[in-house]
Amino acid sequence: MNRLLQIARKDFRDAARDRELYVAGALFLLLGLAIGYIVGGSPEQADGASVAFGSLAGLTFIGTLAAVALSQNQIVGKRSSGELRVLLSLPFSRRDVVYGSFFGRWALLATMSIVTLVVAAGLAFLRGAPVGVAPLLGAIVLASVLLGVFVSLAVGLSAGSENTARAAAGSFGIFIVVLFLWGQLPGIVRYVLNGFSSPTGATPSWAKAWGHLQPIAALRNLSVDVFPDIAPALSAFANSIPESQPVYTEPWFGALVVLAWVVLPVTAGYLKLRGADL
Amino acid sequence: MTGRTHVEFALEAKGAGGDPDALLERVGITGAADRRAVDYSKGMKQRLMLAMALAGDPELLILDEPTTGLDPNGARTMRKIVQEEADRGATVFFSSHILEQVEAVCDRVGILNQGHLAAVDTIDGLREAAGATGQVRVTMDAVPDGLIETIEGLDGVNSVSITDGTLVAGCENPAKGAVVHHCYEAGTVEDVETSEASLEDLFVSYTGGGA
Repeated sequence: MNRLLQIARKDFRDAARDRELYVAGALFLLLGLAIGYIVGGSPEQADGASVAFGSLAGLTFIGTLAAVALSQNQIVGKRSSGELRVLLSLPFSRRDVVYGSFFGRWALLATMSIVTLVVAAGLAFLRGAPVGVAPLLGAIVLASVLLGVFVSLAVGLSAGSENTARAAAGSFGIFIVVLFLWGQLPGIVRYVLNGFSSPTGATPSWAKAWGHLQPIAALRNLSVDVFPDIAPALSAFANSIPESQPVYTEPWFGALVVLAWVVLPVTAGYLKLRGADL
Repeated sequence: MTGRTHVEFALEAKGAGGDPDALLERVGITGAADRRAVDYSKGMKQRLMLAMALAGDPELLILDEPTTGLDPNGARTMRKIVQEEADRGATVFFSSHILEQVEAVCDRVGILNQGHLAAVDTIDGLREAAGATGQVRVTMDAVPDGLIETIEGLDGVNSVSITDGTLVAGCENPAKGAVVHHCYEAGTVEDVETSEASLEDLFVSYTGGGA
């Protein structure tokens, strides 16, 4: 465990030498400034949750994109540069390297999302808008969990890929699928099953449930009762919850789905790397 | 990360105390301790890797081609460190194509051929087991007819050839005297040299020559 944490700390510190980090950091900062500026621009319309809501909505896209960009090279890059072999020649296991990088990057991305929220809150507050602390903390938690999903995906792919090009293509591909194409996939499957013509009749329940297996929707479902004023910020990239509230939109189901999205990708990548010939 | 932080990282990973600067000095890159290791030359990286491997006094050191990328002084330092580590009680296992280096430091040598271990023994043991363990070179003013056949017929002689009036017989040590004796009987001997089989000869004999 100590060694795993040593890798996580190294990963976190290494980021300071990374040019991409400054680009991403500037992006997070700009997002915070923009949200703070917009919310602060019409203080009479804002409530205590406005900053948190806006920031979380922005981070759902910019944060997850940055999480993928900053994580997708973490293992495979070390593998191609030879750094991985150096690490493994020290008393680190492959498990330490994969999960250590995962936690290190996750901590980094969570820190950056805190920067966004704090900057946004500060600027909005200075311009006279109300800023509630509880919604801010809620947004930090939700953003951190969400970024954890995408760090897990990208680190997992990075660990499971044999070269950097595949890791990059796979990571950004999955990012696009999760954010933009997820809802279309059942339609495509039904189209194919229907003999390449548009399906007729009501949407089957599996197709409806599919939309709630997406991590952003699951996180929203999980948290909408706890943070009713900020969780809907996630809905831009998620299916809405039907009136009937089927079981797959329950918070506990969402919790399981989110947990699976955080744990499984990085673990799958680790298992692939464990058996790989370096 | 600088060279020093790399070594500090290795010490931390091994849960070992120790002075990173002392390790850097041992491998001879003290002057570059504060430079970024990514800018190191190949030989300096090799030395840094050795320092990281030495951190925490491991009982077993596995070095893969440790002298590639090193200049002759670096190779000598490497050899000295290998000796020191062995004297400290560590087991040092390394692979090399530079057989002089192997001969200089190794207690036991394994020869790999096509992925199979062809032999493992001390160098002397390998010499003994390989049979064709030495050479005797006899320079004569003229090599008489029939001498080659006579010498080839001797016990323990594996090969005989003649170049420029020098007869070269590959043979076991006990046969050398007989070879010289026959040459002396047959003509005028001007010079005699004998040598033991080098590791290179042994390697060739174990791996069957060829490509």
